[in-house]
Amino acid sequence: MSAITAPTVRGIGGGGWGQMRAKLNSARLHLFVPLTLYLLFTLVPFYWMVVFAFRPTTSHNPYPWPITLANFKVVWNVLGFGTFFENSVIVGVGVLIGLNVICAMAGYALARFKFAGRGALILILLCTQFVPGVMLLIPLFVIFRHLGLIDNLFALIIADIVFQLPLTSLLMSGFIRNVPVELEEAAMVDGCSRVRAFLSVTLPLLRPAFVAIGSFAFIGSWNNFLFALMFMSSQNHFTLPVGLDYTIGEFSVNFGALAAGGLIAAVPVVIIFAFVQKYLVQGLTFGAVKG
Amino acid sequence: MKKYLGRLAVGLAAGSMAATGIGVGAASASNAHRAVAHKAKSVTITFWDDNGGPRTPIYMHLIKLFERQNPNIKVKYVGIPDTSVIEKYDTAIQGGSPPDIASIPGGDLAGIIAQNALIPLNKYYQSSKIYGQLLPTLLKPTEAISPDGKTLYALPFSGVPATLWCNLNILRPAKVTCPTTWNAFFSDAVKLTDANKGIYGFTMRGSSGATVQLIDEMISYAGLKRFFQPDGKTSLQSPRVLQFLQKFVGLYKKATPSADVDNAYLQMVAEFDSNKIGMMLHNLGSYASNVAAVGGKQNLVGEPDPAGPFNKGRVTMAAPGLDTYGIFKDSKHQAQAWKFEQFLLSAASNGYWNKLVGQLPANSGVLKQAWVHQQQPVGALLSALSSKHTYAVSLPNYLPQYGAIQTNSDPLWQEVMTGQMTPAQWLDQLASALDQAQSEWTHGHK
Amino acid sequence: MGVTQTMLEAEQRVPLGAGVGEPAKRRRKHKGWVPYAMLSPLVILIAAFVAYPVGSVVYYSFQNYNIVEPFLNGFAGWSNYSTMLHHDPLFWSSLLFTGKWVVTEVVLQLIFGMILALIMNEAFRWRGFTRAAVFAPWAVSGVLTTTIWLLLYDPQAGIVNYLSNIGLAPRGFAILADTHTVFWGAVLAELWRGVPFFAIIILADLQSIPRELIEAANCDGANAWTRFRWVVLPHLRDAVILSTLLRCVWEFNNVDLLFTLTNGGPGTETTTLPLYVARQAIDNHNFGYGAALTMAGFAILFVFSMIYLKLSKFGASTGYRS
Repeated sequence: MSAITAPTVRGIGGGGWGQMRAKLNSARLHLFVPLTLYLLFTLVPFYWMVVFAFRPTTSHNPYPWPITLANFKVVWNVLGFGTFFENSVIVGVGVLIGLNVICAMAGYALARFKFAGRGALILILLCTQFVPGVMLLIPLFVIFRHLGLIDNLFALIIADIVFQLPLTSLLMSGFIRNVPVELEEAAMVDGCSRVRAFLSVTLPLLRPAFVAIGSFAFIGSWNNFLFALMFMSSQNHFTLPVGLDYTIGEFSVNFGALAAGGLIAAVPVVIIFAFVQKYLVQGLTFGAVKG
Repeated sequence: MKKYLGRLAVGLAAGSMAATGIGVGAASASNAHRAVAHKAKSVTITFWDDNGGPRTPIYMHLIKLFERQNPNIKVKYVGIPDTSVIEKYDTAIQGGSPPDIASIPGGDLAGIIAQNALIPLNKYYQSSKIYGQLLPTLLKPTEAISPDGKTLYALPFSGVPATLWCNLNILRPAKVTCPTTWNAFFSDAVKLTDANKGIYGFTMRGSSGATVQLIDEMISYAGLKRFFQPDGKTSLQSPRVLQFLQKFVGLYKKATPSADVDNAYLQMVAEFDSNKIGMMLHNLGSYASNVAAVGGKQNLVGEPDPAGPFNKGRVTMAAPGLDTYGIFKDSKHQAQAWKFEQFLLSAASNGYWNKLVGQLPANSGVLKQAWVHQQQPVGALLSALSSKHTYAVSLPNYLPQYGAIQTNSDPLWQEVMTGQMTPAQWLDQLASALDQAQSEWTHGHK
Repeated sequence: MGVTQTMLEAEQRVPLGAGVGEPAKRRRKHKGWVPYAMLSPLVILIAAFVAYPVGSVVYYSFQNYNIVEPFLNGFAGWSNYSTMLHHDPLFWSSLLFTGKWVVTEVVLQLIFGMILALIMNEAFRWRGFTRAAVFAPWAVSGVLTTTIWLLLYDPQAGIVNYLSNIGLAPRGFAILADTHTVFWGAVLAELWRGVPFFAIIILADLQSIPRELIEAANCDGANAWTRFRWVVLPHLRDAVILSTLLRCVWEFNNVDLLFTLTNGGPGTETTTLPLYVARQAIDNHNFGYGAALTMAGFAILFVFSMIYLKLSKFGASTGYRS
């Protein structure tokens, strides 16, 4: 519960340094030296991508100069990244919504009820993570073909939901368990039905969990190459990862286009991340019991 | 049992979607699509390109021309990224939903034929406008891929022979010309190297794809005349080949960057394109990227494999790599697909395609087009392949496991380069894998 | 948490804040249809889209099933398994490497993730920006991650080249080509996108430590280390255990990075078991043998998960396992 209501605790383990501002200058080095090093490690690869994306393919400079947009034009106009982008957004949003709805239901059941088969179910969910995707492609393809969903974006939405469900429903169940059941019980005493109690009391408190699971879902489907390539068979139904692979040809790799396409794929997600990271951090409590 | 499970799964899935309201919209949408197509009485065929991306605009142009000539046929182009072609084709074939027509790399053709996925094209070809126009140098190896050695399950549209690339920016200052014998190649590679300046005479393919190239090079150096002896053992198992391998691996680090052990085509071509490498053995396919990297045609020479020391100066070459078009058994529009294939193979389309990609055309009519002689490597390789003084050895591409055998040998070749394995051990394992595959295949097709 | 708690058959749990010693049960016993109805979408989706594919893997592991050699296909009994166990050195070496890979990655990701989370839990200017930057690699796709690192490592065009220009690296040095450095080269690339996962999860849990707990510790005069060891770490315990397990499974099974970065090389130096499975399925078209290898991985992960959870006494730290 504190994830939602308790004020953020600060300090390594909380509190201490906030009150010792006077001594801070030396103490802060412990923070900023490792942080700066790590930021360097994180950002240099991004910088390298920017260099390749913005400099001409013939340049060997370690900085993006002379600057050009030619790579972006290739990626957008010739390779058709506009369509791929649109498809990725459709699938990503579809997965985000679908997964959250199913997870909220399943997570609530797992967190609040004791019923026969609960342990087995959780075990099965964990086991679904043990098989590498490449072995499942052909049977999955057959299922989707029988459903008439080959080359239909719904197939991607379903497949992405199915393979992310186990992890995310466990996350959701951990989160729901942290919402004190007394709140619901109080509402029920006041005459609400269980459903009303869930909708009006618990659901609003789950907002951070929805954001967190939504992020997981969106990023997972945004980056899923294998399903997108295998279950779609139209140029205008492919998604961004497939588009990225187009820059790697049989006898040549267009590094500039690859980097430009990579930026187009990565930047929007990183920006969205920046906005939701606060909720994200609140929503991902793995269910340790909190006050 | 399996079928039953499959149906159960499908039933469950359909039920779950009906419950969530997903399936309904999808199904009705596809029905609507079918209805519209029927009304217009035009047929849509699906075409898969195995190297989607770089070549997409070329096909877009050709498809536009084709649709103008054939208003009743629409072609749906789908580019498959090169890195995942086998997975995509295998999944679609096994899943029962292949395209109508596709371009298929020669190396993957046997595997697709073995899945019984393609129709024979001999009759279509014989009664077509393009009959007799396809070059025998490419048509014969395509026939040889079929189990009986005669059936054309696909037709070739382009050839990618092994090519020795020379960067004149490096060769000129050292007063070296692109070598025409293997002995000159070995001494030039060392001569051109100046490690302190980061300049190397040669770049070697060490990682994936290494074996494909090594087989070409072994055949060429040793002057082998056929791949398998009449007793079913491979001719590669010979002292001449071993001599080549020892000399060749001796170049590593002496005349090549140490990074070469990790060179798949991507890294190798990138190395050559850094303009610090004198020579590279690859195939004709990297022409366009090489020209761009060395700063123009005048700085690049592409030649056939050099002549080996054993055949009195005659050049021996492995049959070129192939690009082919095949039509799928499951297609409901095979006649329309053939029309499109015939269009693609016509001198005009085939010339347009190969000119832009820089590979050997398959239609002999293209040889009259001016560009063939203006692109030096294309001209050089065409004349080498059609010369009476050249031996062209066909490769056992009919073995469905041939590609896998080569792929499995690649990591071992890396071990040869890093000194964990000797060239003789490497050759032994390759030869025994080939012998075994050949004998299994002979049994399976008796 | 829910996962393992049940697996350990810990019957009842009481939220800590509800008061120690209070015997209240927070999960209602329910014999009706409500939980099943709520679970039905999940169960139906898994049954429809996972059961059959996974079942077919089990089935094919007992078959000769090579899609390009249909004339050899048929029932194989245990032969795929016996080939794997007795005649396939690559199976054992890939297994060994998988272990090395998973342990190295997960331990390092956990340590770096923990340090980062502790730092980012502090208040400082630009914290929002810093967090977004540190988390960013998580959002980058597999193919892109490997390509970026290929470019960085490239001895001609990469950052290595510029490092050697200023004398920090030997000329023409190829990290991924050298059997001594390829492992750490791959580890670094995987850390880049793996650390954010731990950082986010641990940070999330740090934020939920009740303030009173910390204040109580401060009153007792605890220093930063004591506070971390005795207050923070026990609190993070369950989250760390579960996320470590999930990460182990993920690092075990995920092939996209190694597939494109090293392709399992040089030689077979960096071939993990699932990468070997992918090779069998894609290059050799041999789904029968690939299925047997997959089953081996499945069994190992299953046993590992059980032992790991037992040994870690998951759920025990919070003191309400009855």
